[in-house]
This record gives sequence, C-alpha cells and structure tokens, in this order.
Amino acid sequence: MFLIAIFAGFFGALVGVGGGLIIVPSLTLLFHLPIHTAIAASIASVIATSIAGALSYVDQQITNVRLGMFLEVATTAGALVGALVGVLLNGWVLSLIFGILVLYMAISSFKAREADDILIAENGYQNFEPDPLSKKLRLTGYYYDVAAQKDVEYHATKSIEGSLVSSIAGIGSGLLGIGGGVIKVAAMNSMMKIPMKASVATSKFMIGVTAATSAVVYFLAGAINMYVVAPVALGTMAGATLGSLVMNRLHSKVIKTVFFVLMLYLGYQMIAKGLMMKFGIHLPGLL
Amino acid sequence: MRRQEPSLNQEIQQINHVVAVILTIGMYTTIFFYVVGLVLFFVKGAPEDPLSGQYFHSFASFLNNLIHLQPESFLYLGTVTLILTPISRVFISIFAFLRDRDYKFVFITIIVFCVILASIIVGSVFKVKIG
Repeated sequence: MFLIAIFAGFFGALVGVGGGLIIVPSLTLLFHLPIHTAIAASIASVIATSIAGALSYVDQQITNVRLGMFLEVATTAGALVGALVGVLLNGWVLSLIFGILVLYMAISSFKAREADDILIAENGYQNFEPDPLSKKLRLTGYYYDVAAQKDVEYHATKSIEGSLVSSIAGIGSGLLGIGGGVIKVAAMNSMMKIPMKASVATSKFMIGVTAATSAVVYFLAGAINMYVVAPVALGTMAGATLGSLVMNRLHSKVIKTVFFVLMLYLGYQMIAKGLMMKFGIHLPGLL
Repeated sequence: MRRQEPSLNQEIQQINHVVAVILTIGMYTTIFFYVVGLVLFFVKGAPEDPLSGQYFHSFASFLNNLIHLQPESFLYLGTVTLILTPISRVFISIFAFLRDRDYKFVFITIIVFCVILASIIVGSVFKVKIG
C-alpha cells in the first residue's frame, strides 16, 4: 500500500495532478476496500501530495502563488456550483462531455509537445502580451529551468478564459470526483501561456485546497478510515517530494508526453463511465 | 535577463516564504501524528474493528484515548492537521497580502476563503456525494 502510494505521489508531482486516478483503483482492486473508503482515503492523500509537492515547488521558486490564488477563485466557485447543480444534471451526460473535452485537450497538447521547449529556448514566453486583467493583477513570474539551464520569464494571457476553464475543472471535481489537476494544467499551459513546469507546480499548489474542502465533508461524515489514510498519505508525501525534485530536471517534452498518456486514460475512463451509466455498455478496463 | 520591478519581486519572495512555512509546519505535524499512530498500532495491535470508522465520540473520551496512547486518536489528529493545512494556507495568505498592501489579492484571497467555507457548509448540510 505504501509503495503504490509512493508511486502515485511521484507521478502526480511530475505532471501536477492529485494522483487519485492511481490510488482509488489500486485500493479497490488490490486491497479489496469498498469504493467509498477508497475515495475518502484518496481525497485525504491528495492533500498530502499537494502539501509535499507544493512545498518543494515553492522552495524551488517554480510555483506562482499569486496565479494560483487567482485561479482558486474559479476552481472553488466551480466546485461549489458543481456540488449545487449536481442533482439537476445527468451524470452520464457530464461524463461524456468531460471525456470528450479531456481527449480533445490531450490531442492538442500532444501536437504542441515540442512547443514548450522551443519557446523556452527562444525566450518566447516573455513575449506573450498580458491581457488587461493579468496586467492589473500582475500575473507574471519566472523560474529557473534546470533542464534548459536558464531563467524562464512569462506573463499570463487570456486570464479570463483561463479562469473559466479552471472553473470547469472545479465543477468536475465537485461532480465527478476527479481532482481537476489535468484541466488546470491544460488551461494554464495552452490558454494562458504559462510554461509547462510553472503550470504543473501551480496546479499542484492549488489542488490541496479543492481536496481539503471535499475531505472536510467526508471527514465530518466519518467516511475517512484512519488506518488506510495514514500509510497512503505518508507514501504519497514521500513520492511527491521525490517527483517534484526530478521534475525540473526533465525537458518539458517528457512531462508533456506523460501528461498526454494520463489524459488519454482519463478521457477513456470518463467516456466509458458515461456509456456504462446510460446504456449499460461495459467497455474493457473501466474501473 | 530582465527582472520584474523590485516591489513585486520582494512580495513574491515574502508570500512564498509564508506559504512554505505553513506547509512545512502542516506536513511535519501530520507526519509526526501519523508515524506515532502507526507505531502504536504495530506495538499495541489492532483495535477490535479497525475499519469501523468511528473515532470521535466526545471530547473527553478523545482526550482519554489520547492519554492512553490509542493509535487511532493520533491518526485522527494527523488527519485533522492534514486537512487544515491547505485551508489555513489560504487564511494566513490574507494577512500576508495585507502586510504587502496588495489589496486586490487580499480581496481575491478573502473570496477564496469564503467559497471554501460555503462549500464545506453546503457539503455537510446536503451530504453531497463527491465521488
């Protein structure tokens, strides 16, 4: 259990996601825990990976705390809306929409997998023109890229569009129990023109807040099993610390390729879930 | 390499420092309670039903369990500090931005904090399922 948690934490830190996609299936399939116990444990351990990963990234000055705080308005509001309207909408429609959205983002991000390294090499990121809101809030930053061996400066563009997409991530996490890290990273990197590594680090930083909000509800309902959470959380913390130390040494292309595989998998899962809910079609590999 | 104006740069350094301190305290407190809890669990053995999920009956019984080194009371404390860490990170950031006189971000952070509280209330009242 501890080893799987380390792996989930490592992987999650590398691409800026919570790691619930790994933890939930392994707890249910390998340890035969009930799905509710697994989800509750996963949400608590996602906080753990976010704390450990965020700490390391803040330390390395890759996280953009201001950008994260700005987008948290959208994600937390989205999560609240998702929780409120969840009863009105059909789960299968949402699953299908999400699946298609994620697959679309996966393909567009895969096509542009070289773009990040090229932009870093040509100092392209600092040339994007910030929009008025981003200018007003000074959503700008820089970090030292270990793989490229240089400072990378950037300014956020399309901050309104980016926060709209982030609010969709929030709605998704409120409704479907996905952490939403995938969508946050995609929104920051492809829309707001934040370098991949800064997007990953900032997403990691933001995830803890969303997960903590859900975790309080599970916690108050007594759904969190302490004997499952403790080893999983310790493992994901160790894994996230390791992953965040490795991440800055890799080229963006590598991170983006790992991210692409994860998005394909998530998109497939969501579509399979939607088809299962509505039509009873059971696609292989559905969890 | 062109740097940003020094005031913003300084502010970023300061807010990063505040965030790092909170996360560090939260992480090590959580690790401490979890490790103590798990060690006690291996030393004292499992309770009758480790998967029952009921840990908190009353404050007095909780303190009593803590004094008697019941593993689950330490694990419980670890989970509490774990969940509170990101939320307190948002809360304390309000004051960090206030100190830097960055009122736009004071406002943004207050909104985030209020939405978190609202979500928790909504979630607890309606028992919304998140999974």
